[in-house]
Amino acid sequence: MAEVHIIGQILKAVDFDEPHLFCTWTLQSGSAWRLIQGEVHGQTHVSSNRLESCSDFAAPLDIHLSCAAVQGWPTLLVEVHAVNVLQQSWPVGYGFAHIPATPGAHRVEINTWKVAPNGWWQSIRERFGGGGASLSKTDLLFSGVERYKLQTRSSGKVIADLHLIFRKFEEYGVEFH
Amino acid sequence: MSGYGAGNSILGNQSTGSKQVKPKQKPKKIKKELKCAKETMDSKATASYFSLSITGQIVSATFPLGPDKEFVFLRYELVAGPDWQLVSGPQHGLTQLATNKHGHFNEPIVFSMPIEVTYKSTSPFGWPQLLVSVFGRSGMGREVLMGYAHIHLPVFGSRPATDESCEREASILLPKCPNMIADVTSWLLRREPELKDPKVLLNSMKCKGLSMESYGSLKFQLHTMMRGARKLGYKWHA
Repeated sequence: MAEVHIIGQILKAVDFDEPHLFCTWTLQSGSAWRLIQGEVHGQTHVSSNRLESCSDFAAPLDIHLSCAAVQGWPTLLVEVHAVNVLQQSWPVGYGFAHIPATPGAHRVEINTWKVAPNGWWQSIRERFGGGGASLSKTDLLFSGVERYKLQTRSSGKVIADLHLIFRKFEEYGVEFH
Repeated sequence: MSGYGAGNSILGNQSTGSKQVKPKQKPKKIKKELKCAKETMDSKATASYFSLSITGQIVSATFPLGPDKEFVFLRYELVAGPDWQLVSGPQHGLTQLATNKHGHFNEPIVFSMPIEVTYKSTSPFGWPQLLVSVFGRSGMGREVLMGYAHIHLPVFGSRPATDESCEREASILLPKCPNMIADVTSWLLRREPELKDPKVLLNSMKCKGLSMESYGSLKFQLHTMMRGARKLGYKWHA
C-alpha cells in the first residue's frame, strides 16, 4: 500500500471583511484511502491581527494516509467562520483544494466563497444580526452535483503550507509529473 | 601487572588465566570505540530508521510598531511525535535578552540563537516542531508573555531550488482574555493571560475557543540533512 504524509500548517486567512475569524478544516479522501495516523478534522483558535486585516492560525497538520487506489485523492476542505463580540459565529467562507499531486513543499491558496444574501432583510441581518446564510449540506463543498440555484459571493483566501512525502508509489507504477 | 604475572608464573593455570584476562580487556575497549564511530557513518543498510539533522538559528523577531517591552527573550522547545527520538542537541533553550531600543523601533531584534539537533525516527508522522515562547521584560524587571510561535522543522528537501534563502517566518500569537470580565480583571491585576501548556497550540483538536491576536513575526534559518530516508522508500521531491 502506498503511503502519503501530509505535514504542514494552515497559515492564515487574508482578504476577509471580518476581523475575528477561526477556521475548521477537514481532510476528505475517497474510500480507497485509510487514515493511519493523525487527525483529519480540526478547528483553529479565533485570531485577528493588530495591524493588517489577516488572521494567523498556524494550525499544524500532520496526517499519514495509506492508499489502495489513486481515485479519491485527498482534498482539504476549509470553512472560515467569523466571530462577533457576543461570541456568535457564522460562516464567511467555504473552500477546498486538492492536496498537490507531487511530493515536496507547496504553498496552497484556497479561495473561498460565501452564500450571498437574498434580499435587503438578509443583507441587514448579515451586517448586524449575527451573520448571513450558511450551507445546510456541506458536501456541496467538494461535489459539483447540486450547485445550481445557489447564489454565492467571493470571499477571502486561506493560505496553507503543505509538505508532502510519498512512499512506495513507484512499486505500483504510479508516476507524478 | 607484570609483578602479578611474574608471581603466578609458577602455577600454569593461573598464569594462562591472567594472560587471557589482560589481552581480552584491550580488544573490548577498542571495539567499543569503534562501535560508536560506526553508528554515526557506517551503520548497515538494514536499519529501519532514518535520522534527521537540523542546523540553523532563530535569527530575529520583528514587531512592526515596536515591541511592547524593552527587552525581549525567547524560550524554545522541540516537540515531536512518539516515534521520534532526540539523539543529540538540547530540547529546550533560553536566549539572551535582546533589545532594539537604540535603533529604529521596527528594526528586527536579533537573537541568532543556534539550534542544532539530531532526531531519529521510523516514520515521518509527528514531524518535530519548534515551539517558541516570546517573553518581554520591562525596565522594572517584570517578565511578561508576548506571544507564541511555532513551525515545523524543515521537512525533507522542503526548499525548492528556486528559493533563494532558507529563511522562514512564523507569526507570533498572543492569547487574549476569553471574555470582558477576564479582560477587566487582568487589567486591574496587571496579569496578562498565559497558556498553561503552550503545547496545546501544536494540537489541532485542542485550540477550539482560544482567542489569539497576532502581532510580529519570528525569522528562522534552518537547514536539514537526513540520512536513510531514501532507502526506506520515501520520496520527497518530484
